Amino acid sequence: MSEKLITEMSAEEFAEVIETFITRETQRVGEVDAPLFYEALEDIFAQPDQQTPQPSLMEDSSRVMAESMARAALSAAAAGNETLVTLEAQVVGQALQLNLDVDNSSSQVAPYINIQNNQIMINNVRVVINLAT
Amino acid sequence: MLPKAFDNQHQRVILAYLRQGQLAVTAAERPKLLEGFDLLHHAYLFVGNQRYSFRMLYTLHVDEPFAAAFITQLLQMKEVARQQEALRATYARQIVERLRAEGLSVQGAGANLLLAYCLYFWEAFATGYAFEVEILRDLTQSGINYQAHDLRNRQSRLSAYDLRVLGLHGDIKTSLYFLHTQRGRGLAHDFYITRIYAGEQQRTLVVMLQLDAWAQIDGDTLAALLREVTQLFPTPVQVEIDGKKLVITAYAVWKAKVLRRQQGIDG
Repeated sequence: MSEKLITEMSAEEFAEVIETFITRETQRVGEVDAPLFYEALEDIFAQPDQQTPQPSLMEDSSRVMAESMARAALSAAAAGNETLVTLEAQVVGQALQLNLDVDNSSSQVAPYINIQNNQIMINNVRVVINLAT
Repeated sequence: MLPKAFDNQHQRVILAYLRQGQLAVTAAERPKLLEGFDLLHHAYLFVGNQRYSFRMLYTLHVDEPFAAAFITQLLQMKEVARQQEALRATYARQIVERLRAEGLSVQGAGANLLLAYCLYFWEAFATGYAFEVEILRDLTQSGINYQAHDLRNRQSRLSAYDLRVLGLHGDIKTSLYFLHTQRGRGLAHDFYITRIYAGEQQRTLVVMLQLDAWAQIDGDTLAALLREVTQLFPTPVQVEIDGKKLVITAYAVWKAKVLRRQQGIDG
């Protein structure tokens, strides 16, 4: 394993690493080594009461995760009848871009999300955004 | 600007992975790798006087310009399995060019990590959809009756599950990431179509099913240890993990059972 950190590498040096990555990753199709697969599978059930907080709720497949970045962070936690929703937003040019982490993997916290213009439906909660002018 | 929790060990593991793939990452390091990329969602770069999270930069410079076009091209391919690799490579290099053209790949220490972050998640996205298209086409060709989300529609792509077969909800997976994030919570869906390789037996397509889902297509299983599953293929195997039962079967066997069941119901 290299001693040099990524942040210490020059752009040119790192470009070579990236090219290696692209070449290798696009010559294989994503199979998972069986032992790794089984190990991870066992991991699912290993610690039912010791969920570590995830850095984000973008989960399920990394495909969905990458896709959810397009909507960029919704954290929804159901507790009794209350639902806490945290939205992260950023002004980009003239637009307010919302970050929505969509958790499609858990039926307990996975919200149904529909975005229409300035309205966001999260399950049966409708959020209407009106920007002050 | 990197999140405080992102440390040098994250960097080392990510670099090893970029250089040599997942074989360079030990079982102990794997959680660190996934955690590292997750933490980078919250890293920031300044563009002009504006601060942008890596997640936002991915949205603006990777997803918005490339995702829809990639999927459109994927759907137009005659042989996805054979042709998608070149397409993925083309797009990955376009992303590098885009970040370079926007001046994002040369902005100090964080720029290298942004590049790594964007390509890692792009590869996951691209590989995942290529595999999904391949499976959905195969199901169609096999005569399986299923309902799938519309890949052309972004909102639909975010649906809670990828497809429905016999009223059961399933997902198509190429990555271990979902197992990582599901840890401690069990599996959310009725079945998962995925692929593994084991020694000489490349591209073994498997279906993992909850016991109730398996009961619907009815079949005998052989109790076995998880690591023995592929050795026992095509026999469906029931494994018990921490008291929870799961059936793992070869994809072809699952298809045949589903087809028989559907023909029985429909016919």
